[in-house]
Amino acid sequence: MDRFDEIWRNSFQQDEVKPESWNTPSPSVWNGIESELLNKKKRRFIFLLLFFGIFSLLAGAGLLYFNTFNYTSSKSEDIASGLEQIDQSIPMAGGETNISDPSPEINFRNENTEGSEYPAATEDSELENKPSHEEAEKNNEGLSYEVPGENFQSKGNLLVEKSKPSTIENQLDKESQKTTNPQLRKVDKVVKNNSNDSKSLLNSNSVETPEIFLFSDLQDDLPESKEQLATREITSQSVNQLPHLTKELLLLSPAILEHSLLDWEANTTAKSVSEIKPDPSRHWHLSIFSGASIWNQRVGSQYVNDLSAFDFHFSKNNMGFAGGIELGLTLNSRWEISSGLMYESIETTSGHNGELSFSKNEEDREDNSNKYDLNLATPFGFAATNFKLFRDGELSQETIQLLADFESRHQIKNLSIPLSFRVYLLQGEESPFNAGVKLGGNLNYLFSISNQLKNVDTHHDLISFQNDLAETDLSQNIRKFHLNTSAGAFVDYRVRPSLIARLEYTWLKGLTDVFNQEDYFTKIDRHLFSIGFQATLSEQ
Amino acid sequence: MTKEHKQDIGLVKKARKGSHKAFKQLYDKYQHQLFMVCLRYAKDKSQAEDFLQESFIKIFKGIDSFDPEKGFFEFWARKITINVCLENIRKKSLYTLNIAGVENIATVHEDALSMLSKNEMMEMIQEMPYGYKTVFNMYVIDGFSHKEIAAYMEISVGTSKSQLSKARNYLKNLLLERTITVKESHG
Repeated sequence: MDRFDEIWRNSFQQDEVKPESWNTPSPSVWNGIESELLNKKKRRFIFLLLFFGIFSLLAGAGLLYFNTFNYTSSKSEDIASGLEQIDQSIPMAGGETNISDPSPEINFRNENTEGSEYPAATEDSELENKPSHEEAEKNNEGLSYEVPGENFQSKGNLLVEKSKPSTIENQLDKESQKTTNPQLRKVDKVVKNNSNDSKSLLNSNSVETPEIFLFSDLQDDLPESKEQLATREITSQSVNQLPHLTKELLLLSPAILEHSLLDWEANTTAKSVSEIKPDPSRHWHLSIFSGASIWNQRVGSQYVNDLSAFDFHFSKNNMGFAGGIELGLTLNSRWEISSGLMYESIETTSGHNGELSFSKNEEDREDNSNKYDLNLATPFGFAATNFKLFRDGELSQETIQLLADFESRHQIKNLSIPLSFRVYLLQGEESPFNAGVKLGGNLNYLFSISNQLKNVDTHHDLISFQNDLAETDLSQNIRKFHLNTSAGAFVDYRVRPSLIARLEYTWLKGLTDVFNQEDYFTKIDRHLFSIGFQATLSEQ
Repeated sequence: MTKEHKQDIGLVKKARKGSHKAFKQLYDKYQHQLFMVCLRYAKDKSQAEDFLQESFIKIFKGIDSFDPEKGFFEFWARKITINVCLENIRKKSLYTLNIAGVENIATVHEDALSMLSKNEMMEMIQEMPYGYKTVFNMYVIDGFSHKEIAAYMEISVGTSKSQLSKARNYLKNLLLERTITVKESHG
């Protein structure tokens, strides 16, 4: 390297550089870097929020799908098991049915085969059980039944001809005819001598047993609890799915049916009630809600006092939309914990008055305007504003003093992560309504907040303002992250076993400042009214 | 480890944690030095500012990859800045080889050169066409070899050497013009 190169290298490789105007970049360079850094932070935060939201949604959807599938399956199993129990309690032809727990303890005995007036269907049957009940022996009709009492014990089985599955339909027709057999009526007289409605139906040729009839008698005997009423519809549907033969047998033996239903009902009622009542076990649930959010800027007294001479007001039309999603966990029958994501979009206005001077001599000749740079006082700090006032007519050369009213609009978009503990106050098992209170807090992020000079009322006919030409910078002292506590109350209505409609009020009290500059500060309190739905996802 | 280096490491650690203040302090400390690098490669101040902004954004975004044990922050940042400048020059096809001959100046008063201020020297560099300027900067000031320059600029080693030679002559001509101008103005 020659001397020439060395001079160049030494000149530009020195460690220390003396700052001079020519080697100092303009401030806009740092502004560009800064905005990129802030955007990076913002993007990272939004990404985290989105990730959390999407994860919650996917997890919720997955659990919901899984739960729905299981719920449907278990429901089908419940119905199937109910039908099975009915079938067991009403033995079918040709099969020996051991009547054992939990099926009804009904004892059918055909004590006298020869003298039996039981229809032909029973003629092929083998009668295994010998009479063992004295009262039954006295029953000269051959067929007797016992309604289990307190001291009842199962004593035997009933053998009835069993239809082959391949000929079930033909058999059904035969059985239908048998049902209308006069002999059968005779049996029925013995069996059900207190059911005139049954007899009249049996005397008819129809085997289609009206559902209303089938249960009307029984309903008088069933305990009138709401749980049982709730399951009656399920029972009715289940019975309607039975083959005609089974229906007839049910009709023939109302006591059997009664006990079958009572017993089955006891099982199904337990299940149904457990589904209707709040499940005391832990389970996840997903909620969506939306409603109105009312913001109240709690502006520091020092700030208000200092600006009171300018008629500063800071909360007007401060209502907006709120909506969100929450994933929760029921800890026990009383407590729930939930968290999620809430979005709020609020628009508020604030204002104050101030003096302006308008001079024709200083106006821009192109549009007859005076330009102003001033700081607007807002609940979110002082915002640097540029705007113009236009002269719409001829004025004197003298400077005009204006007492102007300034109105600023603030558009705020807030994302928050709520954390709530809910306590159920009502523990009613019968009512679909429940109510409770909630406590918690939110981590908030003002991801968008803007100030806009909306209007300057000059109270002068010839001097006007155009808000589309105003530029307002956001206060430099906005704190985007802020915290609040929350408390509220809610009322739930259980629409379905796994779905709750919720009406809720939440009061959110700001803990940290959204604006802070020396002695001036602003906190935000909110009132949130929302309706929503909560779906149970799964049991833990 | 020098005090400066320790201070830089402290700032880098804070910056990695997201300290806005630390980023600003690093910027304030190295803005002039890195801006001079950008000025050497750029055609004017405005373009240099664009290069600088992009460089600092890359530096701050990639600050996690800075390893204090491998060298000073200053050198690491400088390297990134040079890369950003070269990338921009290549991306925007600013670099064109100057094939026109430049009159060989036999003797240059090196004393006259050493009397120039940095600002004047910078102006001379900026006056050069991109082809000369890039090779001159890379070889003479930033210490790249002809092989590296050739690989980076996708030219032959011979071309790199010839471009450097022409760049030197170009600068010597400029220096001569300036010297004459200065003499005339004094005379």
